[in-house]
Formats: sequence, structure tokens, C-alpha cells
Amino acid sequence: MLRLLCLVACFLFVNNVLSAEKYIRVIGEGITIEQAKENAFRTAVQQRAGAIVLSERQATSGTLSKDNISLFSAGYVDDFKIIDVNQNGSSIRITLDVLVSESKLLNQVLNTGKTSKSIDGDKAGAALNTFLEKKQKGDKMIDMVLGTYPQSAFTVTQKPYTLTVDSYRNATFNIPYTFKWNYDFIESMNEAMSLIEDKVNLNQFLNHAPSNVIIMAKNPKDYVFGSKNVYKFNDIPMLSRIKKFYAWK
Amino acid sequence: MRGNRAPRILLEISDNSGELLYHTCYIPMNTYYSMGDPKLLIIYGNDFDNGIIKATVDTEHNYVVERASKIEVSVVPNSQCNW
Repeated sequence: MLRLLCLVACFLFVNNVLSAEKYIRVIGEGITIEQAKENAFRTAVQQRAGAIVLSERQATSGTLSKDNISLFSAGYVDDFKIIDVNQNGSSIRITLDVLVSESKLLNQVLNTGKTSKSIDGDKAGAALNTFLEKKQKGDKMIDMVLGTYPQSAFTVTQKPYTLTVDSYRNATFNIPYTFKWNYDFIESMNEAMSLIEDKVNLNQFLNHAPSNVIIMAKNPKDYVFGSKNVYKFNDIPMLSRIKKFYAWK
Repeated sequence: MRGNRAPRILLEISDNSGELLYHTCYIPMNTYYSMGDPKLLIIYGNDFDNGIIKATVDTEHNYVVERASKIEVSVVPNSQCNW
């Protein structure tokens, strides 16, 4: 039984390594070779890691005043090989084999050297730039979700008023209200957090990571149990960004 | 989070032409999120608040009461209440 378990574990490990080490061939175009490479990297990340289309629409007085559509893709370029470069007039067309890695980095390691003294700046730069671009897209997604805070985050309902006078004959309107979180907003927060959270090591799994967001809520449709979702980030600017929305709005 | 960083409930009383006669901001009493630990943000999504906004509209003249046509409450950022 133990041997069978080991075999299954080995198969899963090898299978994982094989799928993780898969280069994909992509073509990018641009006016400069750097632009063409960036274009190819973006295509590779979207193909390998998938892309989520974020749509933000806002209507003012019945007219659509804001209509932003952006893509969020969870991955970064771990390695690439230049296969072909073609110049066609003012445009450059580049063919690359790109290795895309999962964005949920463990211990923040983007790139490692192959020997003790050499560094491939081109590849390390590609890993860093695509990683930072992905983080910026994550920031943008947070801005889109939290941009409507607090108006969309809470539901306030008012009940019929009463008009009273006090001992000094001052007139006072009394308006009963209820004020509660909008569960749809909580759901949006949960979805955004699950897309951008980082992979953490075992120590951080048991304790607090550098940044942590905990959302505790109960779906109003459920009778008894609520849920507690814990999101861990190695990225401190992300938590600062989220806190800023709550702190100053 | 309580106090000056919490969102506000805005009460507006206006007349039938839409002119604003009276407005005030009200701080909900419950705790909605906690940020004491710099590593941590906790959102308590079940918290709610039930209360009564008391708006003493005037002492000498009753023009607000006489002209009032609409009473509306809404949620606004606390920055919108720094009049």
C-alpha cells in the first residue's frame, strides 16, 4: 500500500514538473524589438495562465460615463528563447518560445542563476518586468473593486420619519435606518483576493504572512454558517493599497 | 473601524424643487473592519447597525419643516462630510 502511494506521488510530481516546464511559441510585434518582446510575453502569459476580463461600468444620470475593460492574467515569464526576428518596414516581428510560471510565487523567487558568477540580465529583466506588470494589473483590479467603496459596500435603508419637539420646542426629525454590508460587494472582494493572493511557505501558512486579509461573512441566503476566508500576500504594497481605501474613504 | 475613518450616513432634506434645506452626517455605531495590526486587515461582513438619525432642524424658524418635501439617507465616504 505504501509503495502504491509513493508511485502515485512520484507520478503526480513528474507530471507537475513536465507541465510546468512547457514552453509555448508566441509571436509579438512592435516598433522596437523590446516592444515586440513585451507583446509576445503578454500573449504567452494570457495563453498559459488565462486571462480574466474585468469590466467596470458606471452610469451617471442614465448615461454611461465610465466603461473600462481590462485584462488580468496571473503569470509571469520565467524564461524565453528567441526563435526568429523579422523586420517588415518599420515593424519588427519576433517569434519566441516562452516559459510561463504561476504568479503565486513561493518566497518571492523570480529567477535563479545557473552558475555562481554569471547573470542573464535579459531573462531576469523579463521575469521581473512581467511580474511587476502582473502586480500592477492586480492593483488595478483592486482599484476597480474598491473604487465604489463605501457607496456599493453598504446598504442603508430608511423607514418613515417622525417629527417631534423637545422641551425647548426644537423640531426634530427622527429617521430610523438599518445599515449593513452588501454581500455582493463582499463576494467581489473575495473573488478579487483569491485571484491575486500569493503562495506562502509553511511557516507563513501557520502564522501571519507579511500581509493578510481576512474576510468573515455569511451569505444572507444561508441559514446558519458563515465563512472565514484568509488571503496571504508577500506583497506589502497590496495590503497598504487595500487599507488606504478603507482608511480614508 | 469606528470614529473619523468610518463611512458616514448622509441625511439630506430638500424641497420640491430639489433645493437642499438641511444636511447632516451620521456615524454608524458598529465596527466594520479592524486594522490594528499593520500586517492585517479583518473585514466583518456580518456587522450591521440599526438606529435612528435625529435631525434637529431649526429652533426659531420652521422653514425647513414647512418646505421639506424629501428626506433621503445614503452612504458616503467620510471625506464628503468635511464641510
